[in-house]
Amino acid sequence: MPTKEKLSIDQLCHRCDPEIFEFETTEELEELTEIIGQPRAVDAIRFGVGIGSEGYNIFAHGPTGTRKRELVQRFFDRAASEDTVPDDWCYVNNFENTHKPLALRFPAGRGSVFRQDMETLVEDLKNALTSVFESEEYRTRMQEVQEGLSDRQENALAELREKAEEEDLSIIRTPAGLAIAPVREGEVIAPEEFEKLPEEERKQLEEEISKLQEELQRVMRQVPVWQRETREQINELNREMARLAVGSLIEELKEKYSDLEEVVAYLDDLLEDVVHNVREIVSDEDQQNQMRMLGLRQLQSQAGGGDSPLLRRYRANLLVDNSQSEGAPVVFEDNPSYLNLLGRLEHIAQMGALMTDFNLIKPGALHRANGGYLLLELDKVLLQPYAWEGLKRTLRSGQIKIESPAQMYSLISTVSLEPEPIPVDVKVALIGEPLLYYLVSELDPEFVELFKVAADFGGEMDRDEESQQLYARLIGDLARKEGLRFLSRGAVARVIEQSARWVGDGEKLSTQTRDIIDLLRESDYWAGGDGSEVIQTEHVQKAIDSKIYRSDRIREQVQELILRDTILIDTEGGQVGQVNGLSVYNLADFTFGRPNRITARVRMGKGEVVDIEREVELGGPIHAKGVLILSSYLGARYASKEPLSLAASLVFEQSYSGVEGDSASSAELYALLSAIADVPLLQDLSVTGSVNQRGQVQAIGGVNEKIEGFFDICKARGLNGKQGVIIPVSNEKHLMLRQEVVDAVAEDNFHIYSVETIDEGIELLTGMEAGETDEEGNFPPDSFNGKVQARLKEFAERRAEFSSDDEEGEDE
Amino acid sequence: MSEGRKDRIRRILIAIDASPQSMAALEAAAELAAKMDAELQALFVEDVNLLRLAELPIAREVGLQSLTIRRIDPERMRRQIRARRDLARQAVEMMAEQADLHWSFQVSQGSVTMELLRATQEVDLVILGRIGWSGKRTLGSTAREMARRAPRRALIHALQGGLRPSVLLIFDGTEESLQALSTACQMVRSTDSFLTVGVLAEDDRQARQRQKQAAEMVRDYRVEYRVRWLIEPDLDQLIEILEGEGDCVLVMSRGMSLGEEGDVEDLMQTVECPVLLV
Repeated sequence: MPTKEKLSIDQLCHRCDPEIFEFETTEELEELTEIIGQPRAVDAIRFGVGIGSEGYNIFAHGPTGTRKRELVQRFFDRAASEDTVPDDWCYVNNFENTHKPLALRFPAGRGSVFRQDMETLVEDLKNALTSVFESEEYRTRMQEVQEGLSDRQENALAELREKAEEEDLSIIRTPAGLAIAPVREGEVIAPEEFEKLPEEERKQLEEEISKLQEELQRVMRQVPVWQRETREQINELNREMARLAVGSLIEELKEKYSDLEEVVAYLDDLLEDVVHNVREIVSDEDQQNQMRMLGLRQLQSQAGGGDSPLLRRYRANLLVDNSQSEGAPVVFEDNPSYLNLLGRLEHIAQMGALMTDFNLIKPGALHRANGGYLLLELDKVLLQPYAWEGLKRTLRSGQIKIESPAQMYSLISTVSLEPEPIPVDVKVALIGEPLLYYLVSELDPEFVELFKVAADFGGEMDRDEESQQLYARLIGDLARKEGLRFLSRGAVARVIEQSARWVGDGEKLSTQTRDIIDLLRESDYWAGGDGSEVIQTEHVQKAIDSKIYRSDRIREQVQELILRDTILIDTEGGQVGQVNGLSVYNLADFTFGRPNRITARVRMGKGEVVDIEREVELGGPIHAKGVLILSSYLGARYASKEPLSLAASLVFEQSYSGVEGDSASSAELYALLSAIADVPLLQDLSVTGSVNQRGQVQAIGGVNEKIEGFFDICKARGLNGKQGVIIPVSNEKHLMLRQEVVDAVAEDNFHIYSVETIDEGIELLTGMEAGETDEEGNFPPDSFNGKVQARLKEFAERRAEFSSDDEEGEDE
Repeated sequence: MSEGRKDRIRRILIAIDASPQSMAALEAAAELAAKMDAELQALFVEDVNLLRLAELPIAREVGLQSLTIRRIDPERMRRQIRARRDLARQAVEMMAEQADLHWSFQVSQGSVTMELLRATQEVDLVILGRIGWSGKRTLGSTAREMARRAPRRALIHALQGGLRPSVLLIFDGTEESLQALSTACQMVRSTDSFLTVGVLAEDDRQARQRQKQAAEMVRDYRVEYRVRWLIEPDLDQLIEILEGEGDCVLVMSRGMSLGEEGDVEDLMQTVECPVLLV
């Protein structure tokens, strides 16, 4: 029987002893204030939040479910609460250039006051102007101006009329104009009488008439000039009255905002605009009433500010309102589309046309986070068209510029605006998968410029007694946050064990809290089913088992194929050139192992080991590497003095879907050596581990699944007490085996062996001594290695004979 | 009261020449005719002065908008007059149809004033616009003549709007002003407007007496009214009072004396409201 010691049950599963915990249930545990298991990421984020320089934005990357966002958010929140509240921003009309609205900055809280002030101003404006323009003074002065015009016209005409009458002429109205006619006793002279007049008199009359006509023409020509002058006087009067009415309102506001230079300048412009457009504003009100009757006004009311277009321009669009804020903002934008990030320009349909103005500018996440912190998920940003470019442009230029992407690419053509850019000072944190981080930093040179701080989240943390205590508090926190039942300390220990199992390492714990939360939720469900107030160990176990049960249909199918001998696996007896290897299958979130039969056949040849998997391209490069290593090992160890004169073939029996990895290379070597030495290998054992050129057995992944995979088959066939698995020594620390396996080992029904070298494995598999070389490099003849050496020597000699025969033949 | 009945307005004459002023007067006339259930007679006079002017070899006119001096030829003048006549006729027809009136449209040729005066013989009320192109305050020559010479009630209408919501009657106790009061009452009752009686008097005693006189007449018509004393007002005061009254029709008797410096004509020159002379 094998000389090698098998592993003790303590080594098979790195248990978490519930007795190390002093609490009964997690209810007694204090909330965890620190972040556990991510010291590097925590330091990076602390650095990123603290450093003020440009480009020091944060990229937090790590496996999913490692609470990256929560952690960053926590740091942001803490930093934000100590920061000053950032300024408010308003967009207002630009009276000089309407399509370029102005941005006004206000100390926090005064933006909303300003908006309210402008609302009131618009209301007061209407009233003040209406009352001034309906006042007695205005009417009287207006009449005065208009009568001035009438007087001028009348006087001019009356003068002319008098002149005409002196000459017995009269000005009379014709359907299309004015004419001068000779009159006698109030009647126009009859043509016959005119004819009778002496030639000289007629001529004189004609001259008089044409002289008067010219004068009449001159007077009439003056009329439009006078009218124009009158209009100008009226405008001047309107402006004067408007200034009178509105001036004091504006002065009051200017006083209030005297510390804000830009606001004062804006208010001055506003006053000028009101004065300039006063007639339109007053008459527009009437038009609006008519529009209201037609139901047109409703549209405008919906778009904010139900006033006439002329009064809308005096409103203020409060884009960023920090009146209710405490500290700096921390914004997480769930849907980081271009428009949601940089803000957008809305349009309203009016009489079939799309219209917009500064009142329809809407803020984006960058506006809201300005002066504070913004959290985004990188994959979502990259998926949204133009969002990534927009974000980078903003960070680079330090200002938010609102542009519609449709407009940038001329996809739509309608009235648009170019709002004045707003300076932005924001700390951005992107969150994403490591792969994305590496890809983006490789492909986008700007990325590293803008996101200089990488916070690298690990998927696992060290496991020791102290960290297990902290982990217990984390479990307690998560359950509390999720509103789940408290856990007994046994249950906590079980969760910790499961966490170690997830990372496939007895000395590590998973930091992927998402998995823990899922496990807790499911355990809580089962605890609920039991009517238990606390989650007990068995509920956690039930949650683990039922999750496996839900996912393991394929495993069951594979096992059934083996048990019904469709897939041939021996679990007893001995076979030459045949060994049980172990492989692992990954199905979404479920992993399982199964045994594979590996066989080797040898004959005399030119020293090649043919990997059939590779020949048919079913084996990957790592697998091929493993095979090449073992053929090199073979030659160096056993045939250093003569040519390696064998032809061997290796195959994974009944494998139809490809093999990758070198974890079976030790098994292949055992099969090969067995075939060469013609010594049977025990089929009760299964083997895993890779091998190097010096014959050392090296660590592999998925050791727990592999052992359990073989155990399941043996158990189904009935344990014979000899069965077991050989694993590399370096995998011992990874053991987190299922209780059932541990129990079988404890009852001596199943065995786990760990080996360091191929020789140790051979001894276990054959029950023979492996044998050491003497000074001349020869193994003892009755040792296993001796048999290998002898067989290879035999091949070499026979091959030499063949080649000398060939030479002789050739000579003949 | 029998006098009032005899007085009833059955036929209204509207002098129309298609000018904006006459159109405004037409509007008022149609409204009044409808309310009083009277017949509307429209008269369009082809001005003989214009025709004569066109015949003169030296006839020229200055275009109102173009300001060019051009020759007037008789054919064109006739055509222009015909066009205006048709325009006037259409307007009258439309108004009358709308108000569902008995109506007629007459055309005559001659001096406008003479023709109007002739036509006035057959009607109870004549309505015409203030004519004059240059300003609203000037009373046109025709209107002036009518105010002087029309044998019947004449309403000289202002440029803007239809009838007014209130009536201001100036009462001085004469037979004519009693008649004017009767007319005013008829108007107020049928148009559902408000009557103000301005009692013109030398002193309070006389005013009180005249107020009593007016009240008797008004009582018969059962209309609401209020009284205002006008003690020896001069023209300016009267104008001021009128302007204070606002939108009203001024009713008064033609021969009324308004102190030393003015008469009815002067008042009409100044005020802007429609004036009904009785």
